[in-house]
Amino acid sequence: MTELLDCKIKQRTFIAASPEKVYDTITSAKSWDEFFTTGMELDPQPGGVCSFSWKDWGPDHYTLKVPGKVIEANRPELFVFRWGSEGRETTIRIELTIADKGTVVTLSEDGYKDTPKGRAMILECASGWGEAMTLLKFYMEHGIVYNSAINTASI
Amino acid sequence: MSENKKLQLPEGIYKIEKSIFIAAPREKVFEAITDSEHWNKYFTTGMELDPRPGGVCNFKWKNWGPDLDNHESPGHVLEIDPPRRFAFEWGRPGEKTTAQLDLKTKHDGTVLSLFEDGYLETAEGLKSILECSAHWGELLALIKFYVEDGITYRSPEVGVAN
Repeated sequence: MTELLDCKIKQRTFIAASPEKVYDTITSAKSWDEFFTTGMELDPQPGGVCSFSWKDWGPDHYTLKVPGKVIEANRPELFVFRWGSEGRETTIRIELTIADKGTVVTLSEDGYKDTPKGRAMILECASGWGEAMTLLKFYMEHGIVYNSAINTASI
Repeated sequence: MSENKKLQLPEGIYKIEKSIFIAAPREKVFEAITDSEHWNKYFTTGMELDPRPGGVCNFKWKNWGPDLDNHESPGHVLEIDPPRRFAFEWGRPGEKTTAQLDLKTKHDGTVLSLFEDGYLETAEGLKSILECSAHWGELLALIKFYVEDGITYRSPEVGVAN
């Protein structure tokens, strides 16, 4: 059996909004679709669906569906889900802590396999989460909606 | 390094590749990534950058981000080819990596692509590249919104609650 990598993705992001507002945003499929995904499905309760979809997304034109399910949903502190294709699931933990005039979002992800593919995947996902948390930040602070049509420049 | 020499980066697993689309011409994006005054508005605090081959490219942060980081990463410019490429080497001795930023025109905007290599293929190297990979994802988004919308980075102590 393949060992798991003894390291995780970690990204901390400050958002100038209350933990409740951040929690409500990251547990709403409609919100995810405004800053990151295309056709997200999310039922924010333990065991509920948490499937990420992208359609022709970003400069690399991602079209991808990653199925997942909610593990823990504890407003406004913690949202945990497990996603990935069968046999390759990883766990994402998003913790919200109150900070001076806002919230610090701490995202971590682990469960990647210690294989060349697992290492390549964890590196790609790390930059993806850094980007996604910054998109979340500016969506909440400035109301910036990620415009897929513009951002894929596929018109 | 000679000005004409193209960077030859080795193939390997321990590298970071990430692109982002920015709705602005290449010249504007290039200026934002080769001028320390711009960097200091969206990412650094007290960056020093002399944008010519061999020039300093020192990254500095003071009370930055959610952890109020105080950190320096000295470096120097490897290649500068307006408005197509900006490459630099940075990091502490023994942990230097090479970052290359390429700009391509696409429709009415720019695709900015980062390629970074040189991480040690050790457990420590993997931890380090993972951290940097997440930061590059963040940084490319910070560059995008700075260039597109003029958004500057605010650390928590100056954050404004909604």
